[in-house]
Amino acid sequence: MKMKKVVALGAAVGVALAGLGLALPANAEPVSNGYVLVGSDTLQDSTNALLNGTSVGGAPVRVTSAGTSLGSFDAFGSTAIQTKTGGAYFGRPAGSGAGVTALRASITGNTYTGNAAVPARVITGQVDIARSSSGAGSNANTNGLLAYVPYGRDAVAYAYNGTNSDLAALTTAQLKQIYESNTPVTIGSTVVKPRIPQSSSGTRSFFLSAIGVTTLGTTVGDSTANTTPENDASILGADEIIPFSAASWVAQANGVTGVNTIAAASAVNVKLGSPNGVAPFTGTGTSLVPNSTFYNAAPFGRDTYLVVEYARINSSDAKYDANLANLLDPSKTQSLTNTGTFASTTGAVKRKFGFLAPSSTTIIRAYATL
Amino acid sequence: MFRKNIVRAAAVGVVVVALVAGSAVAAHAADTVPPTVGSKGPYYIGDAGDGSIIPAGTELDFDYALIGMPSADPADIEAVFPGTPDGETVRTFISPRGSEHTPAQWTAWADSAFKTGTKDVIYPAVTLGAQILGNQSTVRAGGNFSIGFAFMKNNNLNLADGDVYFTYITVQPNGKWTFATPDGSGPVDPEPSADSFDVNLEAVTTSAPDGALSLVAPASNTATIGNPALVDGLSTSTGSLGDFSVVDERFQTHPGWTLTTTVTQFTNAADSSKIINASQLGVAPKLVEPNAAVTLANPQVAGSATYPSVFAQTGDTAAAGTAKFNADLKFVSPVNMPAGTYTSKLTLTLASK
Repeated sequence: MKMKKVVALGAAVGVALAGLGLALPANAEPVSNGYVLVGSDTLQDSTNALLNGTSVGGAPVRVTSAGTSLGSFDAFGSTAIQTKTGGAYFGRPAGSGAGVTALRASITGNTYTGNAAVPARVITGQVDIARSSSGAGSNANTNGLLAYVPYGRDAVAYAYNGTNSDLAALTTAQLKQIYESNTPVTIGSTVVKPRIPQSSSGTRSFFLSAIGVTTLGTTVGDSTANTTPENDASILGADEIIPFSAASWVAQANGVTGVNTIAAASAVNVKLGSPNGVAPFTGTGTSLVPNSTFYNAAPFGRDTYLVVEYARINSSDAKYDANLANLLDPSKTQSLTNTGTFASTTGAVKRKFGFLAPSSTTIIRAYATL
Repeated sequence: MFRKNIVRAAAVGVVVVALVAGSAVAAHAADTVPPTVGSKGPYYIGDAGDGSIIPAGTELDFDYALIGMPSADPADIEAVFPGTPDGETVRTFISPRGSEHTPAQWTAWADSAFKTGTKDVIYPAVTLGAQILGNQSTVRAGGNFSIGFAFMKNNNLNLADGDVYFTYITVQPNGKWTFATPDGSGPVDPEPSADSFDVNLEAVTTSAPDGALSLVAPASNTATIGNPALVDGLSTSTGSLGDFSVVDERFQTHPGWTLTTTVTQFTNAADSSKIINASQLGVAPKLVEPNAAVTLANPQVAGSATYPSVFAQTGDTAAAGTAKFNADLKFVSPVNMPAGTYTSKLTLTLASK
């Protein structure tokens, strides 16, 4: 009998250690000393650079607030993140939609579920800003409780893996056909294999809207409940295409991002297409510059946003936070939303990451209820 | 009621002083921040938005985004602060005035960076609010500081040869601040040609009780300490006192004597409020000719000298006859004192034992 008890105890200890082992990776990401950003993959590289400090714009620039550093959490990585000291570990918001959902939960106190691997958690006050590569869409509301503050101008093109020019300049109509069809679409001699980023991706929702697709065709790989990351050139097989942020492509090619998927061995034949024959960028090598003609034109040009609780940037509200408001004030030289061109502005940094000035600086309010 | 007011004033004395200083800044912002001393070179302040030079006397917000620039000439807008090969990192900082070269004494700081691909620095942040490490709240409370950046090495422990650039600032308790604008004439190290001072010597003698004991003063009653050079970032000047003699012909009684040095504090010739303590003068006594009866005192070291101090003495053994002396002088200016001419008086007093 004694022997059995010992064995049982050993087993119990083993389980407990295994549990600790699972929790450890989340600790590798430090907590923020100040405001917290989550959400869009498209915006993450530029906000990471701005908050951690960078010289890519030609001068050292680091965005701080009220004497503290800030934290920007990637869209992909460990399944759980802890954003502030003592805060809950919660599912990593993977993309624009998830980021806004997490921000809403942070405001309301409702539980948030980032992914199936992490239980729903109360995350009150754990998220301050959501990165969003898509606009408010149907959630826009003049009395909305959230504010979409324009961050920068991006455009969505598509990346393709091919050795000929069949997929180099697809039209909007061709893209719509490719993503709606239930049978394979052939362009030139190439049978196109469409792919799509995960469902919370702002790039996904914007792209489908831009080409007029509401229901994906059955030929689209990973069309439902997938976890395909956006802006990852390394995942494309031969003749596959996927929506891709032009800004992200420019940033990766320029070598200013932490990870460069374009340079991956598997991406040697991956290129950025020119929708309707308009190239998303000019320049070559590591000196790419956004092509304003493509960025400014419909349907592929888009403004991107930082989303925040409106009350916190409304000076007449009791929840008004002047520091947060300054952080999102484009007239401030080193705010997150500045679009200047001088080397020591945040705008100069964002240009290196492929973002131009947004088409408007007007805040869009959204979500009448949270 | 009057008593109560007095008590309150005493309890918050520091704050009261700071407020008075703040009022002065608002009224005379351009001339209340003294010229910067000790920076490797001029440190102009520009707008981070476009690089335009901020005019002297401008009152700035604590979090307004600003950059440092080595030149005020718009044609030099892309000029860099030149670094040196030993530079490994760059930090911006706010420090007490006089502590710019001592990172351990900085009040607040932040990591910065070289210009990409070089060891030079361009547009370092001068934004007060961006100095997020250390104790920024001390700066926000107001006072006199320096803001600048340093080329560093040894994991931010020590300064690299690129040295430190900074400018004096005065921060009000509400966070508003003003700064000293360089005159643009080049380095502001305390080493202009006028960096010397005069020493008047007074030869004081006592009456010889039995025979002749006398002190013969130098040919000139002014000793100039010049040739300033930067040693460890401090202006260091050297000179010689000049030959002088003690003549003791009391061969019968030979009671001995003591020669004592006293030094008054150094006063800036242009601004009598600028005073350097006498402890900054080092005096190293020496015999011009050997004299076995004379014992020289240990040198007084610049920076820690104490006066009065014994220069030399003899014992009750034998009269020394004529003992011919001189002294090496070394003056180290504190880093926070403006360049200029400082005067003092050194007195040698001969007394019989």
